[in-house]
Amino acid sequence: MTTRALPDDADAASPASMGAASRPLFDWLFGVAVLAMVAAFVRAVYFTPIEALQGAAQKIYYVHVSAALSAYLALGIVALMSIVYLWLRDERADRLAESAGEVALVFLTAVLTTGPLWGKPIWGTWWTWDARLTLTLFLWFLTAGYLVLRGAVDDPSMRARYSAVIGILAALLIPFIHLSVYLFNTLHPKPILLKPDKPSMPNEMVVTFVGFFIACALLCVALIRARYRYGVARDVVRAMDAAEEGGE
Amino acid sequence: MLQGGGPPDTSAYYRIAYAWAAVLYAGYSIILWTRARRLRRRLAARTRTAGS
Repeated sequence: MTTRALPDDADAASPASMGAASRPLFDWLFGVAVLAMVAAFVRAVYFTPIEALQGAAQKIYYVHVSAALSAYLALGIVALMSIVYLWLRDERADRLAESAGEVALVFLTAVLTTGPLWGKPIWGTWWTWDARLTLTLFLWFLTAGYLVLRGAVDDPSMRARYSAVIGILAALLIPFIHLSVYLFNTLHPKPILLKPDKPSMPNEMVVTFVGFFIACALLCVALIRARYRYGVARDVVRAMDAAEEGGE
Repeated sequence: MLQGGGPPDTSAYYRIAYAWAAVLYAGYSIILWTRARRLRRRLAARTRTAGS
């Protein structure tokens, strides 16, 4: 089975592919996402009450959980596009999976670094080998491994096939991470919002969280879009390099 | 940590968390922009070479 390329990628030097490669990286969506993030930060810092038991550290919840959900969103895109690639062998799906994988790593890094900043004042320790924390660390390694693998395999179709399998397997970890607090005796708090019952926090805080999550998800999508555009430009340059080497 | 029976003062942790998240997201955006700019320069140089 051959890899199906973008029509505008077929000829690297074609005006269509050159146009696609020279599109601006950051567009209106990125602008909207940045404004939404600034608004979410301001609301969380200045206009959301401080929780009585945990103090100001509870506000880390908004940035931490929003980053986690955005990472899951990005990894969901990786898995979906990996399936699409394995089915249709469409280069665009592989490029989108790659873009989402890179952005997922950024958000997972945010999760794994803001979590300990909450854990230290509340649990008294930066880290514990709790099921959820350990599984999230595994997911970070899997996502990093996915990107390292992509850089290590030269053949595009082999690279896309191998990384698609890892991308799907990495996303399969997400339900286990979510359910880990129910399946194991963990120190990590159980979901406050993503549960069948009513949210266990006041409406004011729920609004702040929802706003933060929407801003974070927008930023996630905008970054994936920007990274995809970078991928298009990179592939055009690679195709030109290959054509030049072939012509010599 | 406790201030007169009120909530504990844990504001330093949350300030660091928010600042770090902002640095991380902005940093990745800048890195992406830098990589794209380098690529565009290469692309422009190639186009000029092909045109001449």
